[in-house]
Amino acid sequence: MKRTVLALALLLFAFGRLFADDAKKVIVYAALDEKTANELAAAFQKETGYSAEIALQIEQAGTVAGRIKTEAPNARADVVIGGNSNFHTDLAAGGYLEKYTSPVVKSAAIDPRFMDPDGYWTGWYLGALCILYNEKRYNEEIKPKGIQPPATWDDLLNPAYKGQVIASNPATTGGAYLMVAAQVFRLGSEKAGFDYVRKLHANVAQYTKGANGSILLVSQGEAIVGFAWGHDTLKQKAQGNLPIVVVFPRDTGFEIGAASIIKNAPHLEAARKFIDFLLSPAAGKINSANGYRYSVRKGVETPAGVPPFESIKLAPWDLKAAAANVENWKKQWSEITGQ
Amino acid sequence: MTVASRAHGVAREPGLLLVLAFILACLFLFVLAPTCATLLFPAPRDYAAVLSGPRYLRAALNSLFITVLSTATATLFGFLFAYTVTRTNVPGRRFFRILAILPLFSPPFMVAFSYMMMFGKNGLLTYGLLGIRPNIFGWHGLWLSQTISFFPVAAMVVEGVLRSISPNVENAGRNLGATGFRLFRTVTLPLARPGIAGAALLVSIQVLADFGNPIMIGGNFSVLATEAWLRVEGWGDVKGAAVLSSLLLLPSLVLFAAQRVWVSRRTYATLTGRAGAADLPPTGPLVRVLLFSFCALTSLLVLIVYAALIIGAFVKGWGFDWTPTLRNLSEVVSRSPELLRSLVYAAAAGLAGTVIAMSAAYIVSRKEFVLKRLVDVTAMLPAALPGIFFGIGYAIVFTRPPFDLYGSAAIIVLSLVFWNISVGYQSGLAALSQISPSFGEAASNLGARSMRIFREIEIPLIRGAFFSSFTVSFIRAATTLSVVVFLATSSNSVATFSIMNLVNDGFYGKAAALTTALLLASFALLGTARLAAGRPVELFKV
Repeated sequence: MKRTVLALALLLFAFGRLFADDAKKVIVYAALDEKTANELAAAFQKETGYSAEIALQIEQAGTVAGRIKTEAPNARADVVIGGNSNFHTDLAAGGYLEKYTSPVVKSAAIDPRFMDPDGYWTGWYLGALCILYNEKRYNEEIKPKGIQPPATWDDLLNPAYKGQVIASNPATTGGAYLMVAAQVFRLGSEKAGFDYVRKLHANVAQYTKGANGSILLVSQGEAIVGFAWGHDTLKQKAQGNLPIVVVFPRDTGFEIGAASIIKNAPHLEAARKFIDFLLSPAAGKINSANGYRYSVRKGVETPAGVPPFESIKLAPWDLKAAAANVENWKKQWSEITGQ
Repeated sequence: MTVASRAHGVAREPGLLLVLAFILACLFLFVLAPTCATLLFPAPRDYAAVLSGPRYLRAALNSLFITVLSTATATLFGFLFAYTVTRTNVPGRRFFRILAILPLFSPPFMVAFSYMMMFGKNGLLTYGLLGIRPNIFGWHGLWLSQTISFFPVAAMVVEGVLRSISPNVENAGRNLGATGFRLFRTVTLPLARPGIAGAALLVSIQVLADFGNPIMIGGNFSVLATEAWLRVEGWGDVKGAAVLSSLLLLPSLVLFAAQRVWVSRRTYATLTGRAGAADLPPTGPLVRVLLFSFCALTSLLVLIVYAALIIGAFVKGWGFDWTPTLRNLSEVVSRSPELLRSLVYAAAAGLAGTVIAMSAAYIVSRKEFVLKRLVDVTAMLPAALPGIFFGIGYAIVFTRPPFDLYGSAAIIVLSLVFWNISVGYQSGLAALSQISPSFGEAASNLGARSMRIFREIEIPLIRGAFFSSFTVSFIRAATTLSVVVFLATSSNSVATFSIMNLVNDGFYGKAAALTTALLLASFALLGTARLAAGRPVELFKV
């Protein structure tokens, strides 16, 4: 009898602890840079009184998604933040996510085209593709030929850049896939898009395995010009004083940075609060100041040297087509490049 | 199979039986279970889907191609270094020996990264000094960096074996009229065969599973290990990664079987209980000059890696702005928890792994029992598994009941222990194959039991192998990334994980500083371990 009471007491105590401490906490997997993730957690705590634990921080969204998949039967985290929406669509398709549409989308009048049409992920930031070139090598090797600095996608086709362009490989990274999709959407048809890929291929020195591989290689002078995510490029340029110039070409591609609640999340209510928080101006500002990413909210200031999102001319984008053509376009790309 | 025929059964010895049961349980739970979990994670149709792409066939062929090339050169380099150090009087042997160990201390991507800095289109040596812009990216750059990365593994294994060949044997050959190259070819080389085979095996499976070098310097040349890694990193496709990395198992198992057959055809015991080592006669002048130039040149290639790394840690913009700075050091301070964890986990993993590996090697080489083949294959299996494969397996098996180790130190340490178990096991086997079982038999005739024989006779004899195995396991554990990337959380994250994040975030200077700190701390810890073990601080005498 005594033992039963004791056991019950212990059980109650354990339950009590579970709910007392745990309900006011959210566990976050972040596919963002470390500083942004930590500052978001701190700001969330200050604003809501809930604590946020960044249990995992890796910039590669694929690795974070992989972790969620392997741990799935016993979900360890509540929310996954960062990474372009394709990763979240993929997680949703695998049954790894919980549906949630934040009321903030409506109350803050955020453009609904940045939200998952199926209601799983929430778009909370945007990023656009940029062209970058090595200033020194451009000045020494290209400028004397009377060629203007690269400013449009078609400029990269100039034969002067033969063997001097760094592109990325859609077979190995989702980010690079969006870059191929950007060409299709920009030029209006699959045929024209892949025609561009074919012409560019003649100039490509190397297809990097990551979407941002050109930042390192162009900075190091391994090649003269490349393209990458604008926010990552501008940020690395600022923090490392890289000898590169960054331009946003017209009709460029973009990504929607998403956040989602993981299925069987141990702290569902806190997780929803965290998603709401990501749509706040405060979160947008932290993300913009550290990661140079654009908030989906209007009026969030950007760091010095970052052109406002409104000034960037985006290619007409078709989210559905981008998601539906992954295997098809990867295959066409491979056939052209032999990669 | 003289060893086998003279070996004793374990059934009569309860102490040994207990050890064997423990080893079997460990190998089952920590090697076989995660391996099967990863293999079974994709459905059969996932295998079919991934394998139907031409991209992966090409990657598989590339893997085999570069494995043949890099294994050949790395084993050759390793053998020449080991031979120079143990069998000649070439000047600077001590120095070469230290240099031959250094590349073991480079975390993934460091060797390749440094070569790009030095030999790339804008490299310090190529463009800065010679004004040329060669393309280092591709299979040729990969070949260079893998040769330099992996020849130390070969050097260590071969050196251990060469050292245990009594000079008396060579002197006997000399007395029979063999000299110079003939002596080398007919006496030294055949005796070193298990060492060379073991070295080539270890190198080839590491080359097959290597992802750090190909991802940095492979350019458009892709191999299976990088494809597997990128399936996850680029597309979040764990199933595809499991399929691709399981493809690596096949060639590895073939290599493994080939090596076992080749070595087991004869015995190589030269330590037969009759002591006495005579001095070696001096080497011929031409051979001396050749070996010296070879070792000096290779050492230079090694030093360049470290020079690039240290320079990178102390300049503002690695590769374009060489202004000196100390600001990257702040990163080392703020990452001290991860650094400390790296050292503690690696030391624990190195020690536990070596004890288990040596016990397994002893039992397999000296005893007869039913599941011997299974122990042998299972202990070698992790060497054939790319880190990511192993990490995925641990993430599947050990993040849920009944073995929920999520976020703990245990999950990292265990994964490192068993991912590295083959290193210790292989060097244990190599060492034991040099020691004639007649020692143990003599003691046995005098009434000693197995455990006592092991403790008092075999252990002192395999001490060298024990230390080299600890050293290599420790270093591999401290510098691996691919295993821990699926297991680390904020509470058990290690330095290599931070280095990866710094590189991804474009902080190359900070990454170089943290890597330098990790290497220095590893050196210091190994030095202390040797002091504590009552051996002189000869860090590189392994």
